[in-house]
Amino acid sequence: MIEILSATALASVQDLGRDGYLRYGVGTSGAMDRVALAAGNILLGNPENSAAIEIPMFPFQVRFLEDIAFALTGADANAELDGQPIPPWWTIQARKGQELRLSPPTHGARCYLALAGGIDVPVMLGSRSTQLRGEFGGYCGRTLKRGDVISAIASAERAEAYTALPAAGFGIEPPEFTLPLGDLESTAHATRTFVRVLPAAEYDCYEDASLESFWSQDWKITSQSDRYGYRLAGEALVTKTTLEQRSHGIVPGVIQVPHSGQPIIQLRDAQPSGGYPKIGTVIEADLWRLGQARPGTQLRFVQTTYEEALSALDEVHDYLNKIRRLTELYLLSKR
Amino acid sequence: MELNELQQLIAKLEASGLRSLELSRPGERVKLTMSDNSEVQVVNADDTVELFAAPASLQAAPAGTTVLTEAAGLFLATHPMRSKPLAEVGQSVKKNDVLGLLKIGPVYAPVTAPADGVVTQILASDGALLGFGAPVLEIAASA
Repeated sequence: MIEILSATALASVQDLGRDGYLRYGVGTSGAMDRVALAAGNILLGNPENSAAIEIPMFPFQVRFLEDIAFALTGADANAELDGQPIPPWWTIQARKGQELRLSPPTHGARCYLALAGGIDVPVMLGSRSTQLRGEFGGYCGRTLKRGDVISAIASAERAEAYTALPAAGFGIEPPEFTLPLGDLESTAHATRTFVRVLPAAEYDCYEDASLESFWSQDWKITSQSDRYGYRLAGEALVTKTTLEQRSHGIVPGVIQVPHSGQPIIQLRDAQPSGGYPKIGTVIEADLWRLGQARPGTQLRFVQTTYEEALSALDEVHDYLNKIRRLTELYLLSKR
Repeated sequence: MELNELQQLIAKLEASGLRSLELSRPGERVKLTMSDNSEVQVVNADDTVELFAAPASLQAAPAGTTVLTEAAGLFLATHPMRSKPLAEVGQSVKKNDVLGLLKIGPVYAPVTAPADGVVTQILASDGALLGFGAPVLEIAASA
């Protein structure tokens, strides 16, 4: 059990998302950086889809109400456990009464706090994610606030497995170093994020010059960017003729272009349908990169193919499988 | 443990240039040590001492305690997400603080402070491949 000490809003309980209900108008929700969520769970020996806390606002502080192992992944929030510095992408055992403090990260947008066993909230429509639009799921269907007490799912196995956890804990390599994309200089300083994009249904309806600039320009991620979607600013995209369309289904990653010509990338809390033309889709394998891209930084689209998109997804799965295998081996070697 | 598995481990040990390898899993432990004539000796680990456990003398840091690696791996003085090294000369550290990382595949194993003290010397260079028991840094007991 942990108690939320921060008044800061917007932290929410999320798992990998609520799949299969878009047809009923229920959005997917789920972690913005699903690789970080899965990795945090892997560090703790949890199923990858266990629920954790997504933290987008700092400082953030919790108190542990029992001895429990936890993991921090995603943005490096310079965590301290009762003043002891904790490296990023790390797991360690907390003692009852200890306080964890997360500070504003230098890079990245979201930090994930996972607990051994996974966060214990009811499964609704197949997921523990908070559906903020529908106000259900997660912790009482809302973001967390001061005084909330969050429990982990009790498990004898995890208690057994983590007797081997070194006193200082241990970590894993963050995915940006295993799966680099784009020019290393700007990604290292997190000033520019590269994501791979597949052309979508209305791609061919745009002027050639617009298509050219879609791929070549730096898009600014505006301050109107959150779990619902990212609004971008740049040279406006122009269609060859006026497009009038009915609403159609959209999924996280779809890049829509309203009449202003300034694209919107729909994300985890997006509504499940919309009528704006779709110029492209950020591939699933790169959505975690978007989840860590901050407002005010630049975004670059890299054209890809369906086959490349699938193999990129395989690479993400390989990364997760490898950290699970090596984490298990490492803990065995510590017994 | 199957014989072919053991042979694979021996081959890996020979190829790695390490002196010793210990593998534990539920129900069995095996320890392989290269002898001086570079043949592999197989020892039932239950009969041997823990070679790489931190010596008991490290509980309170005497002057100039050398912190050794407890695994083989690539030494990272700085976490790749950060620009500041985990330990710098003159830095006060508390027992169990993480002073460096050993990268073993995708795992980052901690190099930890055995006791409260002050970092007096960094001995391992960033990016170096370190074996078991290699010196990483030195700390002195805080006054």
